[in-house]
Parts: sequence; C-alpha cells; structure tokens
Amino acid sequence: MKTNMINDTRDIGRRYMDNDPCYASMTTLTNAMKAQRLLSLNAIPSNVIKNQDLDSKRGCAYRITFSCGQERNVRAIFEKEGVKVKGWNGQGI
Amino acid sequence: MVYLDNGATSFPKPLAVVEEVKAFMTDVGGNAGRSGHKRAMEAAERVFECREKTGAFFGAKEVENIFFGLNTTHVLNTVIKGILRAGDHVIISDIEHNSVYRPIYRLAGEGKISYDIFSTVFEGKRKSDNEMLKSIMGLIRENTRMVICTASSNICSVRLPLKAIGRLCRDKGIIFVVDGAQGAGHEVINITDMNIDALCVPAHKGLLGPQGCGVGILGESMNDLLIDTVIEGGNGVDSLIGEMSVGLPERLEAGTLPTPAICGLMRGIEAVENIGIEKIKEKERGLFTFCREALDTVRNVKIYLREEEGSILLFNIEGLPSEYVASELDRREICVRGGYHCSALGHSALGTLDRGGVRVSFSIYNKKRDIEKLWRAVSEIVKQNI
Repeated sequence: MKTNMINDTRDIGRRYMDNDPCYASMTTLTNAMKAQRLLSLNAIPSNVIKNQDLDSKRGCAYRITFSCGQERNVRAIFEKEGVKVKGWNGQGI
Repeated sequence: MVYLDNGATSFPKPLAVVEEVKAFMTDVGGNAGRSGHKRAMEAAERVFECREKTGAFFGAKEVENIFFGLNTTHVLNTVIKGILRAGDHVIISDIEHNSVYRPIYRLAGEGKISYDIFSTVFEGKRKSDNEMLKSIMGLIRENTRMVICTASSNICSVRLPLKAIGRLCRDKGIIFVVDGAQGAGHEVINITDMNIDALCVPAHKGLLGPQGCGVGILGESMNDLLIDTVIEGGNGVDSLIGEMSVGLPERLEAGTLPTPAICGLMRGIEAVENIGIEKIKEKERGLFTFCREALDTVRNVKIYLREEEGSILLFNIEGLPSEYVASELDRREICVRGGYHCSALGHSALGTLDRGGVRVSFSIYNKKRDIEKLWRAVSEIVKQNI
C-alpha cells in the first residue's frame, strides 16, 4: 500500500500523506456543490468550503476538498462528468 | 372568506411551506454564496437542493441551468433581454401577460428588435393547435430568433400547444421561451420533452410557494450561449473582477437570493408532487365546470371561452364594470380580480378591452361550496343592480 501511495504521489507530483486534504478550485458555488454530489454518489467524502488561497487573483471562490488518496479518482470523475475546475491544489487559479 | 384569486397568488399555502420559511429564518439564516461559515453553507445547501428539485420537476438536465430571481417577470426579463440581440425578430402570442409584452414592446420601441403576434383566439373561440402553428410558421422570417409564449393564459383557461411549438422552433433553430406563470403546477411542463429552451415560473402560484421568488429553467440547448446580464452586482464569485462571472447560474443571480422563499418553494413543489398534477387538473376542471354551470343560471352573466376548462374562468355582468363587480364580491368576502390583469394583449384578443373582466382562479384547495357562495353573491349583485 505504501508503495502504491508513493507511486500515486509521484504520478501527481506532490508528496503528501494519504489523509491530507487536496482540493479543486471550482468556478461557482453551485458547480462545487454539484461536484460534491457526484463524489458522494461515488462514495468519495468531500467538503465544499470557501477558497482560502491568498494568491487567488480573481477573489472570492469555492473549493471542494477531498482526501489526496482519492485525487486520481476525483479527477477521473470530474473529467467524465464534464465538471469544470479552475485549478487543482492551488495551481491554475 | 372565499379565496378565488389564485391567478394572482395561491392561497392558502401548504403548512410545510410556511414551516420551512420559518425554519430557515429561525434556524439557518445565513446568506448562500457569501460567507464560508456553517450557516452560510447550510443556506447554500438549501438553495442547491431547491435547484435540484425544480430542475427535476421541469425535466431539466443540468442543475447549473436553474437560476433564481425575484418573480417570473424578473426571470423573463433576464432571459429575453439577455438573449436577444440587435436586429432579432421575435414572435409572441396574442394572450401574453405584460411581463412578456412590455420588454418586447420596449426593445422594439428602441429599434433593437422587431416582433409579430400570432393569434390563439378567434371570434371568442380558441384556435386549434394546427391553426396556431400555421400562424407562427407564417410569421417566421430569416432573422426570427425567438418565440415566446405563455403555457396558459392568466385571464382564461386557454393553453398553448407547447410541445408542437417547441418542435417547430427546434426544427427552425429558433429559441423557444415559455412563460410558465399560470401553467406551472397546473399542467405538466417538461422542458426536455417539449424542446423548451427557457422556462420562467413563479414560486407563488401553482407551485404553492411564497412570493418573492421566480425561477428560470434553461435547456441543454442554452449551455453554449452566453446570456448577457441585465443586472450586475455581487454574486459571491470572482469578487475582484469587474465583469460578472461566466459560470451559470451565479452569472444571472446578482444580489442576495430570496433564500427563505426558495426554501418554501422546495416544499411547495413537494406538495404538488404529492398531490399530483393530474389530480390538480381534474379538480380545477371540475371547479370550472361547476362554476360555469352555476353562473349560467344567472341572467346577464357572460362567460368567456367557456369551452376551455381549467384553473381560470373569466366573466362579466352586462352593464356593470368588472372592477365594481370585484369590489362588490369583496364586500361579500369573496376574493377575485377585476380589470385587465396586466394583460392588454389578452383582453384585446378576448374582445374585453373596453371593460376587462372578473377573473375567478381556482386552486387545489378550493371547494364547491366556494363556488356556491360566489354564485349566490353574483346573483345578488345582478338583482341589486340590474
């Protein structure tokens, strides 16, 4: 399992523990809540919270947080369902 | 008191609606989409649930395509003015409410668009579906961009063939907008089945919710269309940017949402679902026919479009102004609406432009005894005045 975790983190490019929250910055609150519903249907716990990035250039926004161990699955679900994401883990916003 | 003015707003409301509004105001109270604290997020959760429920009720595919406004008029203006461009041609029906007619009238007056009107009524009778479709087809031009029509008139029970009009519009690449103010909660309206691109409904009439909330339901066909904003302001997204954000629905929701009303609307839709539209239709038609038969026994009473049975019956007493009759009924503890019902076009089509009419509008909560009381009052008014 630890080997798999290391492989996962290497793939995604960050080192973190399995339970640390990762997040996707969403385009709107409604978009974030829709994403949360989708993840819930796929048994992936998540939270919608107000964006806390200090470097957000556009101001107020919302993010959806989830366990980093699930990031690959989350990305796959969002891509499959056409969920728009502004950025992942602080990148791209 | 007998309430027969459900065309203006439905009354009474289901208890669950009242309790939900109260519960929000006593137990939640946050502003959805603004702060990040628990109360604000709980408010946001309620708003999202209502989007889901409203979308499912009207056959929408995307929850983001459900946006809230203050009432149907607000939502119609958002859609009409947000979509139309200079040079567009629009077709509307001859029984539209002013919430459709006035924005179109203004845009045309400013030289931005042109419009034509198709008729739904001729010589006191509803035209057939085919006749209406032929009228619309005859008015379509190369630059026709939008057809707007009501699902159901607010001054009589004429209903329009939405499915057929939707199919025609889809075939011709024309955007189809429906004013569902009187139809929602009284008839089945499914935007996917009916090829409706934008449906605008109020919370407070057939959906049995509170006043202060309108809903715009956009079809999938609108996903790639960037709707211009009519109102700009804070929406809790991208606050550092001067432009309204692109993402729906927040793009069309500047300002604080009517969250208590939205919460109430959820319970109103549930109440309608629990009762069932078919049962509502059957009940209202039953009340219509009972009312028609009762008023037929009173001399000097004229009923308009009497064959079109539904939730609204319009009548006049010959020789008496409609507002006078309404006020006399009010003295007798009966609530109806006299006058023109914000529908100049409608009264012109019905031939009642000189006097308006007395509108009796039913809900699932009316009883036959309400009609009996109305009948006695009308008989009395006729006896005393004519």
